Amino acid sequence: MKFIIDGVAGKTVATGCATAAARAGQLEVRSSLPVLDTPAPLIRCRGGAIPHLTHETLQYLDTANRTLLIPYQYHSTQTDVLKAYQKGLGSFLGEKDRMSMLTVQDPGEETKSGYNQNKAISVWSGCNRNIVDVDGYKQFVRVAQPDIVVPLCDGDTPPDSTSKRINKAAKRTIDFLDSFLELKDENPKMNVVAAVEGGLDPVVRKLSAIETSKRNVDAFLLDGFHSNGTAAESLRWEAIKEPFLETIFHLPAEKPRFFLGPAGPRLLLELVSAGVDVFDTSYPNLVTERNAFLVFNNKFTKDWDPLEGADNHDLMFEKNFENDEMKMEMRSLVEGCSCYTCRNFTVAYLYHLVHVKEMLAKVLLSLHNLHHYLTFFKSIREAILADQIHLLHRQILQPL
Amino acid sequence: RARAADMTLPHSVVQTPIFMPVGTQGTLKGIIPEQLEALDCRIMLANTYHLGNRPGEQVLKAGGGLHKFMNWPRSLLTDSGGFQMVSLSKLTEITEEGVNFESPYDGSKCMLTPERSIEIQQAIGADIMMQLDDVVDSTCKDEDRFEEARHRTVRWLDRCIEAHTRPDKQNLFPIVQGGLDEGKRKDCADQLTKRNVPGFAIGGLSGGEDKSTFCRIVKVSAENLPDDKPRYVMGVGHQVDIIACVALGSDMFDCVFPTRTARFGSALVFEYPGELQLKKSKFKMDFRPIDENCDCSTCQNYTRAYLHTVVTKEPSACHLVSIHNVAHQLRLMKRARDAIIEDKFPQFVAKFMLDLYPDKKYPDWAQQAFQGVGISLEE
Repeated sequence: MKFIIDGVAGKTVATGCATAAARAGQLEVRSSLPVLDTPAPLIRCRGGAIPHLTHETLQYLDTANRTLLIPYQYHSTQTDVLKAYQKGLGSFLGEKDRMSMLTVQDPGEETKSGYNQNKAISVWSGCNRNIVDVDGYKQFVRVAQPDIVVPLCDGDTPPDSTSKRINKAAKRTIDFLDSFLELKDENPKMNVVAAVEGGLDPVVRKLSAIETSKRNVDAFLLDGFHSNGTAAESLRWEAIKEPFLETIFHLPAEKPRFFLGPAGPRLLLELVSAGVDVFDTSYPNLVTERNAFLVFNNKFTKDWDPLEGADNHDLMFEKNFENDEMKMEMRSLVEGCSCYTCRNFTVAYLYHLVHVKEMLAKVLLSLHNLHHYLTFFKSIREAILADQIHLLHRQILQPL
Repeated sequence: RARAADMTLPHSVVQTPIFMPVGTQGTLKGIIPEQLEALDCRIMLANTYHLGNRPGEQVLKAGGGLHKFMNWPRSLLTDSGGFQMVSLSKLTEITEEGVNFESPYDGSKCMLTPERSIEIQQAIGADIMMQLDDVVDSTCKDEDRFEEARHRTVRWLDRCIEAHTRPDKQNLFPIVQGGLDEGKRKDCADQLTKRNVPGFAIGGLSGGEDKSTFCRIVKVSAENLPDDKPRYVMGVGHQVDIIACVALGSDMFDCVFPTRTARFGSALVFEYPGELQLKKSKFKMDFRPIDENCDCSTCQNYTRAYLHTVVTKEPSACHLVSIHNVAHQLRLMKRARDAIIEDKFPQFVAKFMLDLYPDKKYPDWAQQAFQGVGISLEE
C-alpha cells in the first residue's frame, strides 16, 4: 500500500496537533488499478452485494477507482466455497476488476453486543451466529484474497461499557493482530488495516494506539466508537472527540486512517478535519433504506464569503416522499444533480415507485444517494487542497 | 403455420415472434429501462388497472405519458384493466354498461366502461392498447355466459373504437373470446375481423383449462384471423407453451412468469428441467454462469454459486435473475424467429423439445399440438 499525502490543511489545525489535520492523499494498492483519491468512501457491501445494485447498474455511477468494503460477517460460512473457487471474494461477488477490503463487521448493520469470547468473535448473518477465531479468520483471508484486510478485532464497546470490557476488547484485538500478522510473513504484499480499540476511554485509546503503531501494519482503523447500523447515525463528534483525538495523536501521520460507520455531513467533516482518510458508504445506504434522498449542499465554492449572507439552502440533509404534493412534481430530485436518477426520472415517478413499493425505487434512490455522497467527498478533497476546509464546513452547515 | 414478421410501432420496430416482459406498475421489478434496451427488448407491457389507480390518469398526463414518465423510449402495450378487475376485486358485477367493481384499495365503487378504459389507456399512451372485453374464466360451466360474453365483447369493441381518438398514435387490438367452444371462437373471430383493426388478441385462455384444449382453441382462433395482422396470445408463458403457440400461428406473448419466478431464485434455461432453483444446495459449488451461451450481464459476471448465496436474500439478486430470465425469453424468440426465416422451424422445435426432455417423454398435449401442424418430435 502506498499512501502519498498531497495536501494538508494548515490553517485549520483546530486540534493543535499536526497528525490530526485534514489531509488529501492518494492511495495505491494494486498498481494495475487507478489510485484512490482521499478522503474517499469505500463502497460498502451487504450480504454479498452492493445494496440494490448489480455490476451492470453500478456502471451508472461514477465509481472508476472505488474499492469495495466487504464485511466478513456475511461470508463466514463460505471458506470452503471460496477455496474451491480459487479466484477470491471480489471476483466471486462479480467485481474482479475492483479492489476489495475485508472488514469483520458491517458498518451499516447493528452489531449485536455481548457475544464475543476470549479467543473468538461472533459474527451474525441474519439470525445465524458464527463464532470465528483467528485461525478460522486467517483461513478465510487466504481464500478470499482481499487487497486490504482488517484483522480479526473486538470492537464491542458501546458507550456504557465497563472498564473491564474496554480493556478486554483492546488487549484481545492486539493479540489477534499479532497472530494475524503471521499471514503477512506468508504474503508480504498483504495490506493490513489494524483496528485500534479502547471504547471511549482516552487512556486505553492512547495505549492501544501506541502498541498498534509498533506493529508492521499499513494503516489504522479507528474502531469501537459505535455499534454500526442506524443507531450509529446519531453519533455526535462531541461525544467521541477526546478519545478519538487521543488515538490520532499517537498514530503515525504517514499511514492512512480508516473510519467505518454511517457518517453524515456533520460527523464526516469533523472526522476529516481530525485526519481520517477513508470512510464507507453506509450512510447513503441507510438513507436509501428509509426511502429518502440526500439534498444537502455538497458542492465546494472556493473563496466562499460567509458574510455574503446565508446560502439559500436549509439544513435538511435528506427528504422523503411523505409530502403528497410530490405526486405531480415533474422535476428531478435535486436541481443541478448530475446523477443518473436526476437526469432521467422525476420526483413524481419516484413518489409513485415508493408508494406502490416497487423495487426500482431503492435502485434509483441508491444511485442518487451514492452519487451525492461521492460528490461530497470530491468537494472535501478540493477544499483541503485549497486549504479552505473550514470554509466548506461553514458552507455545508451554515444555518439559515 | 409459424411465421416471422416485422411489426412497426410508433416507438420501435418489433420482430415477431416476440415475448413481452410485464412491467405491471410502470416498472419491471427493479430493472432500469436502459438495461432492457441493452437486452434489445423492443416492447413491454404495463397494466392499466394498476396505473389507473396509482399514479392515476392525471399524473400520467402531467408526466407526458407513460413512456416519458418511466423513461422507456421503446414500445409499450397496455391491457384494458378488465382482467385484473375480475381477478383482483372481490366484488365485480358485469353489466352491458361496463364492469362495476369495488376497489381493493379503499372499497369505493367504480365503473370501468369501454370508454373509460380507452381514456385511461390514452393517458398512458401505449403503442398498442387492448379493448375492454367481457372476459369469463375458461373453467366456468355456464355456456350461456360465454355466449353473452362474446357478443358483448364485439359490442364493447365498437364502443372502444368509437372512443379512440388517436388511431394514428395508438393501435387498438380487439380480443377474441368464446370460451372453449370452437364454433363460438370462430364466430367471434369473424365478427372482429369485420372491423378495421391493426391486430388481434386471443384472450380468455391461460386460466385453468387443460393444455390440449388450450392449444385447440388457440389454433382455431388463429386460423380464423387474417394472416396479415399480428396475433397476440395473452398471458403465455412457459417456454413450451410459447413455442406451441408459435407453431399454431401466433406472434406475440406476455407473462409475468419469468420475472415472478426470478424473485424466488429460479433461473430459466434451455436444457432439462427448464428452470434452475438456485437456492438448492447443489448449486453451492457450481461455478458456471446460469447459461454458458447467454450474453446477459448476469451470465457475464456471476456464477450459480454466487447467486445461490444471494437469491431471496438480497434485492439485487432478484434483479440479476430477472435480467437473465428476460434475456432468456428474448433469445428463445429470436431462435424461433431465425429458424422460421431459414425455413428450419420443425428442426428447431425438435431440438428445443429434446433439450428440455432428453428422455423423450414429451408432454402429450405438446406432442399432439406439434403433430397437428406437421412437426414431429424426436422419438
